[in-house]
Formats: sequence, C-alpha cells, structure tokens
Amino acid sequence: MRTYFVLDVENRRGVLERIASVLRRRMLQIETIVAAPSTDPARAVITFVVETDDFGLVRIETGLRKIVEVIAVHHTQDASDPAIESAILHFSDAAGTRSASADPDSLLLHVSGRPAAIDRLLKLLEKAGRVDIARTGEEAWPEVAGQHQRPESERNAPAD
Amino acid sequence: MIRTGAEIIWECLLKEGVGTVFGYPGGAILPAYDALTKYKKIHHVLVRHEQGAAHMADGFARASGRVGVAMATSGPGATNLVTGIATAMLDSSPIVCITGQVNSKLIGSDAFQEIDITGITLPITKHNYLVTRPQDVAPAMREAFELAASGRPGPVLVDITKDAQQGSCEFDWEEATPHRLRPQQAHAQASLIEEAARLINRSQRPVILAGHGILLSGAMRDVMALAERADIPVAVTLLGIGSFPGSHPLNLGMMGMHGEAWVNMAIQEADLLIALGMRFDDRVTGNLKSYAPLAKKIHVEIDASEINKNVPVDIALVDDLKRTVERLLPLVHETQHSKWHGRIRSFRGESSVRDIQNLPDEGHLYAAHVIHDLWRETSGDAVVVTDVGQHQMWEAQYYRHERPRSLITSGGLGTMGFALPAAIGAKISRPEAEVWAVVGDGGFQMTMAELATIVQERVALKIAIINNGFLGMVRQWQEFFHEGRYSETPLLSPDFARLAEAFGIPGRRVSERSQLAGVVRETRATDGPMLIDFRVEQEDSVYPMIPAGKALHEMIRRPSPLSETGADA
Repeated sequence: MRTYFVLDVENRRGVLERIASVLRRRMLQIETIVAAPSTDPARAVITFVVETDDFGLVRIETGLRKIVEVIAVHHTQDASDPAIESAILHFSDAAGTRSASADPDSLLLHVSGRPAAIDRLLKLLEKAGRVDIARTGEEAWPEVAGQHQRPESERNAPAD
Repeated sequence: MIRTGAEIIWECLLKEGVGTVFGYPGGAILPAYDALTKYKKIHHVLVRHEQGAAHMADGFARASGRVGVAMATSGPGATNLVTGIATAMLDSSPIVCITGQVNSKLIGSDAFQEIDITGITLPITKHNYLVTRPQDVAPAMREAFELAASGRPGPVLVDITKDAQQGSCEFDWEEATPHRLRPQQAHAQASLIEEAARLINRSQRPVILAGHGILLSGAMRDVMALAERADIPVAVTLLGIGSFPGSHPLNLGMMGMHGEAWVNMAIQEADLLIALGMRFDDRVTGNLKSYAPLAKKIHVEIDASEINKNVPVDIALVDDLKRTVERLLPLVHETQHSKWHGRIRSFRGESSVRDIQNLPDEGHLYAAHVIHDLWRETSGDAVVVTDVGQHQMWEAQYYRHERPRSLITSGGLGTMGFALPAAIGAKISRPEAEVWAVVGDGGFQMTMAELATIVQERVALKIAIINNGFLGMVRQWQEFFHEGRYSETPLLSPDFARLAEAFGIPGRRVSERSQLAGVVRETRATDGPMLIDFRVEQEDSVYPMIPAGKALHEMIRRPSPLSETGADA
C-alpha cells in the first residue's frame, strides 16, 4: 500500500540520512521525499512516500521513532488527505506551432496541485509536444495525515 | 572556565565517572592525547589494534554495567573500531567511542586519514555526532553517555575534528545538559499488564524466555520471584545466561539452535511464552512458521521496534523490564505446575546417555570436558568471556552460571576475535573477579596481539584456548550440510604456550583429561595472566543442533550409544 509518512524532526545535519537508512535497511524505495524547515527553525517537516504493507509500516514507524532527532511520526494511506505536489514543466512544441511565451519555441510552467491533477496535465501536454519535468515530490499536512496517529507517549500513557 | 575542546573531552569523561579509556593515539586525536597528560585520574589502556579497544570497552561495560569508552584517531583508527561497535550494537552494550577527525575545513576533501566515520557507523550506532566546534564537545559527550546507557543500551560515537579539539571555549557542564524535543519513553498500560497476568494465571504450560534485557534492567530478583510464584520453568537465551541461576530447579537451560532438546521441546508444547528482554532471534526460534504453535505470547521489551518483528505476540508490554515485572508480580497467583514439570522431565528422555560427559572418553580430550572441569574447579564463580563458535556453545551448555554478568559473549554479531580483548576489559572493570577468556584457536589468532596489552597493563587474565585445529563450527556445518568437504577450515596454529611465553605470559599445554584439573589449579594459583592450550578432539560437534530453517523439535542429536544410528531427528 502506498503510504505517506510525515515526520516532525529536529532540523539538524544528517537527519535525512538517518531516515533514509531506516528505509534502506528494510529494502524500501522512497518514491518521493520533501524536506523543509517548519516555522520553528529548530524543526523541519519531512514527507516521504513508500510502498509497504502493514508489517512494513510498523517496522518503519518503530525504526523512525528510534532516531534521536525524530519528534513525531505520522502516516496515512488515505488518498482523501491533502497531498500537494509542485512541478516545473518545460514544454517544447514539437509540431512547430508557436507558444505564447517570450521564448517562441518553449514554455516554462510552474504548477501546484494534487499529484493526480499534475499527471493529467502532463498527459494533455504530451499530446501537443515534448515535456521535460521536475517534480518536487508530494507534501502532506501532518495533523491531517496523521490525525489517527498520536505520539507514542500519549498512546502508551499509563491508565493508572 | 576556559578549556580547549581536547580538555573538555576529559573533563566530560571525569564528570561521567569514567576511570578507564581504551584507545590508540594518532594524528587527528593528538590534541586529546596531549591533554590526557593533565588528567591523571583517568587510566588509558594502550591497545594493539583499535578493534581491541572497542571490544575492551564492550567487555568493560558488560562486566560492570557501566559505560565503556574507546578512543581512536581518524581514518583507519576509526574504521578499525567498526567491528567492535557493531558487536556492541547487536548485543545492546553501552559504549561511547571517541574518534579524532581531520580539521573541519578539510572534511570532504579526502585529506590524509579522513573518512566519513559518522556515515559508516550510522546503522551500527544508537546515534553519532560530528563535532566541529569546541563549544559543541560537551553537549555531544553528555548526550552520548545518556543515550548509550538509557533505554535499550548501545554504542554511540562522537567524532571530533582536530580544530574542535584545539579551539577553546567556556566549559560549563550544567549548560551542556541535553535538550531534546522528543517525548519521553512511556510506561506499559495497566490494562495490558492485567491482561498479561490473566494469561499467566490461566496457563497450564507456561515457559519464561529469559533474555539479556533482564541483566540490562537489573530484574534478576523480580524474574525469579515471578517464576517461583507461578512455578514457571525458565529457558534462557545465550545472552540471558546468568539472568537466572543455573542451579535453580526452574532453570531449564539454554534454548535455540544448540539448546538442550528438552528446552526446545518445552517451548514447542508450551501454552504460554513469557518473553522477557529477548528478541526472538532466528537462532532462538528456528523456523518461525512452526515456532511454539500452541502458545500465547507475552513480550516484555523496552524497544518497541522488536515487538512483532519476528514472532507475532498477543500482549506487548513496551517498557523497562524491571518496572514491568514489578507491576505484574502482585497480579500473579501462586500456583504449581507439577504435571507440566513432569512432562518436561519426560522430554529429557535419553539425553543424559547422549551427553558427552557420560560417554567413555577413550583417551580423547573433549572440549566439553574442559568446560565442565573449568566450571568445577572455579566453583562456577568465574566471569567467563567466550569467543564465537563451537567452544562458545559448549561453554553455554557445560559452564553453569549462577550470577548475572558472569558470561560475556558476542551473541548477535557473532564476532570472532571478541573474547581476548573483551576479557581484558572485563578484568579491568572487575579486578576482584576471576576472569577467564575461553577462545577457539581461530578466534584467538584474530586478536592475539592484545597479549602485549595484557602484559603492559598487568592484567591477571586466564586464557583457555580450545584448540581443535579447525575453524570448528564451520567444519561442523561442512560435515553436516556439505558432505564433509572441509573447505579452508583446517587451521595451522603456532605453539600457543610458547607464543605466550614470548609475550612474558606463562603458557601450558594440556592434551589429556588427567592433566586438566592440575593445570587449571596452577593457573588459578598464578599471580598475573596465564594461558593454557587445550588440544581437544578435532572433529567433535556441538549437539543438539537445529539446522537453519528447521523447527525447534527437528534437531540433530548426538548419536546415542544405545542405538548408534547416527544423526537422528
């Protein structure tokens, strides 16, 4: 199953490598990954997408929680959760028709939206000419993506 | 107070209560070694190879429960630590390794003796640090010690650039307190503990699986109280040996690939397994599909990533083991399981007649004889540090350990060459203890350069080489599974007794059982180190053995003198 992981991490050197190591040891390929500082410069949000099963999901989560810089782990497979991706499209008109851009032979577009919407746009443009693309990878919003995933301390809080 | 980064390293070690560091100097760690001359309270043990330093720190930690410290320079000094770090990682041993690194401006330039040791050790440490400024030395050191010893213990590496060691800053220990944003470790839910107690109280055929975590959390008395209250037999893992007294009537012995037949049979017939601080390693479970098919499983483990990793469990209690058993104990009823114990006794069957101890030796010296007689002569009171291979399994079978931290061995990584340096570390951490390194002829030759360390440091270590002229466990696998083709396992060795003498260590050779006790007594009576080269039967095998991928009950047993049918299942 395709799973979004959204991590709240300390914004320190090497944390991305530690996360990648957890996935590599489980022989998983990262489909997309986005990392950026949050509003608190001491923290960052890292979103990645992997294909895994229920067993793998637990192993990834528990492995990630062992990383010292990882503050919280959220994950979801729910496609209705907002996942946003950006892409830069470089469109060359192979048929020789002129574009509206300043460059008569190509068009540079920056688009953002649901990954599926970007896929549809790509298909449309491919019919008209050659498209080179740089996609950012998918981002999700932690509280929404992980609304069913509370921090470990809360989940295991003593009832007595 | 203003201190150099190099001085701060030693200041931090003093604050952490470190009295011994195992290491080897070199270019990038020179400022630290220069500063060491001002810190007379710290004893530095000069090793002969950095791998030895890591194993010594590991042995020090396992024998004492305190964090062991190793130090090395950059490049090859750091990479030589790697096997020792991985060994500590797999066996949850708390060590801190400090490495020198090239000047921060040279990082990434392939400078002389520059290597990315934090990258290399990333998957084999709990955490690691690259420190490039003197003001970051103390926070990294302080956090490294906290991490190494807390939760599930393990190795932490602190890589410190030369300019960070040479630069100066204000040293304030209190200011260096770790500030992490992650949530604290939680406690196991009370409802789960109650459910676990209900399972224990309902069980008719329970078995406790006692692992290393019992030793690490100091829960020996609590586990014994649990076993005695509910009359539960206890099977131990290799690293769990010593967590439950070997002579206790409820102690069944070691489980797993070379565990006794009745132990594995009991696990297969149990209706409840209470796994305490163990991780269902493949050497313990055999084929997972047929492992303990009748049993509910309770798993008490501090590391959440071990839960359901290999064996699905019914109740997982993720918490400190001692705290959990303390909470569990009042909920468990006093009971007796006489019928179950009788059933387990019946599993023993003809085991004793197959035991090499009970077979005529016909003039041969068997490794099992050596281990058994060593146990008898030392009254089971020694700290034994073993290497990896056949002798390791024979030690686990024939030396009965009564106390925690009395067997030190490389379980998870299976590191040959571990015993000699780890035993040095163990002896230095517990000078009052009688410490024996029990090591095969193969493993001994991997790290035997540390004999010089023993002499230089005047370490009164006793060394027993179980010398069968083979890489014995590999030979055994070749015999069982490769039609006896002994590919590169016969081993030519030097005369170990004379080799020891060359280092200034008394050496003896024993090739008959009649000599054995006398030489062991002489060794024990000798002040300082001594080495015995036991020339044992060359092609003996460790029995029982569960072939890889087979179920626990599908074991190869020592041929019975009653049937002489060869290996039987």
